[in-house]
Amino acid sequence: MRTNLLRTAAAAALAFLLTGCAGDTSSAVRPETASGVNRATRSEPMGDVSRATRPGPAGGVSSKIASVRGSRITVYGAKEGARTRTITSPNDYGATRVFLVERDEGEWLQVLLPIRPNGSKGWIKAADVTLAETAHRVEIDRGAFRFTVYDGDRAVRTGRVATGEAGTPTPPGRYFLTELVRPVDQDGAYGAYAFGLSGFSPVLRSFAGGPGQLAIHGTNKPSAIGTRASHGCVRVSDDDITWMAKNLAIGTPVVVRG
Amino acid sequence: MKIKAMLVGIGAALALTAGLGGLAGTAAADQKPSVTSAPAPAKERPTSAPVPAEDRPTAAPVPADERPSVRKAGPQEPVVVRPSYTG
Repeated sequence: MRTNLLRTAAAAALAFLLTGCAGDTSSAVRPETASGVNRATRSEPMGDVSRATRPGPAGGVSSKIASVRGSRITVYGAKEGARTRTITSPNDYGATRVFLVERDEGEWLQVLLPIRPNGSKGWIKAADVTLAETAHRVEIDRGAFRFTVYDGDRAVRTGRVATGEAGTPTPPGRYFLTELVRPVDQDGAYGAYAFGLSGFSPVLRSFAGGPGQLAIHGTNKPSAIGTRASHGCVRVSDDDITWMAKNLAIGTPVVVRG
Repeated sequence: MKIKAMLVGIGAALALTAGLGGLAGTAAADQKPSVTSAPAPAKERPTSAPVPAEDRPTAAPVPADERPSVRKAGPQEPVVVRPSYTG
C-alpha cells in the first residue's frame, strides 16, 4: 500500500517536471525565429540602397565635364594601356583644363581631347579630375546659319551665325567649350566674349599667333551674320554671346552639323 | 494503521511534488537567464548588424560620391586676354 502511494507521488512529480521542460523547449526556439526575421529585414534595405545608387551614375541627357585637379594629366590610348601624352593645366588662356566625358567607366573616363585631329579621344583616370554635369548643349547648323542652345530636350536660345568661308570652312564635328575669354579690345573682331572650342581649322595650322583654334564669339560686323564670312570660327551677335557667357559652363558640348 | 499509512503516503507524495516542483522552478529560473542572455546577443547582432548594414550603404556611396563628385556645372568668370582664334 505504501509503495503504491509512493509510486503515485513519484509519477505525479515526473509529470510536473516533464511539463516544465516542454515549456522551456518551446521558448528556446523563439530567438531563432526572431533572428530569422531580423535577417530578412536586414537584406531589404541593402537591396534598396544598391538599387538606389545604380541609377545615379547612369544619368539622363546631361553631359559630364572633367576638370583637371593638378597641373598636368596623363592621357592613355586605352584603359590600363600605355600613356600617349601629358596635357597641362591651366591651358594657354589660363583656364582650368577641362574635357568632355564620352564614357564613364568608374575609375577610367574616355574623354574628347582638345587636340588635332578633331574628334581625338583618350582615357584618363577619374582620380585625376573632378566631375561636373551640364544639361546644356549647343547645336550649330551651318547650312541654316543658325545656332540653338538646349537645356536637356528644351531649346532655350536660338539665333543666327556666320560660319567659315569656302576656303576656311567651319569643320563639322563634336566639340566642347574650352575657355571663356573677354577680349581686351571690346570693339574688335571677337566682340564682347569668345568661347574657345576644342576643335581646329582643317586649313589654318596657325592664325593670329595661335594654333588655328576654333571659337564661338561675338562680332563687330553684325551685318555678316547669316553668311560665310569667317576663317573658321562661328560668329554670333554680341547679345547672343553675352547670353552664352552668362549661362554656359566651360566644357559644354557643341555640335556643328550641315 | 491503514489511515496512518495513507497519511504518510500522501505526505511523502506532497513532499516529493513540492521538492520536484522547486527543482523545476530553479531549472526554469536557471534557463530563463540563458534564454534572456541568448536574445541579448541575438538582439545585439540585429542592432549591430543593421548598423554596419546601414553604414555600408552610406560608406559605399561616400567614396562613390567622392570619386565623381558630380556637381552642376555653371558659367565662369571670363579670362581677359587678347584672343588668337581663327576669327
